[in-house]
Amino acid sequence: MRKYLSSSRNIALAILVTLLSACTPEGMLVHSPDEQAKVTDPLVIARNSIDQAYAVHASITTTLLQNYHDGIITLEEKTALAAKTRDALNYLNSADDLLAAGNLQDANAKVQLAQTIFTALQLELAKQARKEKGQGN
Amino acid sequence: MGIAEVLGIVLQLVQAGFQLEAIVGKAKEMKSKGATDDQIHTYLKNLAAAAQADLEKA
Repeated sequence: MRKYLSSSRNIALAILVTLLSACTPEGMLVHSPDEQAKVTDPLVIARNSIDQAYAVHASITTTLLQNYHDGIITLEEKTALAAKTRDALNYLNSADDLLAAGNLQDANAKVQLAQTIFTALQLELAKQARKEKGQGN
Repeated sequence: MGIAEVLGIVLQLVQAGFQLEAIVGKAKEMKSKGATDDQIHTYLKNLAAAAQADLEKA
């Protein structure tokens, strides 16, 4: 049975992943900081957040699929993680619909829910990196 | 947590980062070629849906 991280290590990993994820290079933003600085319409800002979140979803999901093909995660693990990415995608689609209806507050709340899932998935990717290293040794 | 573990985490994040960079690069390329924000939004939304479908069916 695979050993997973202890709770204290999980906390340390979560902090590290959060810190690293916060340092998103400008080149990885769908809309550049200059563009965003010119935007004052909250609806457009929210739309840009959703766009960025869709890009993050696709990148995480693609990485998970690659890890499955590389044998780093099992079918069961892949299925469980796909359910989480599905939840995140559903939140983003809901946010998109809410924004189209002019409901900015609820749309932003849905994006926040998706981002919470992304943070957990980034932690999961970090765990998979540890497993990959263990398999290599 | 040792340095090797930290490096492993960083490498995994870099891998995910490369995926994100490629996606964002494509969106920026579309924009430079005159795509509207609506078209880029639709592209990213469809891309996420396709990636989700690929993960689920694999």
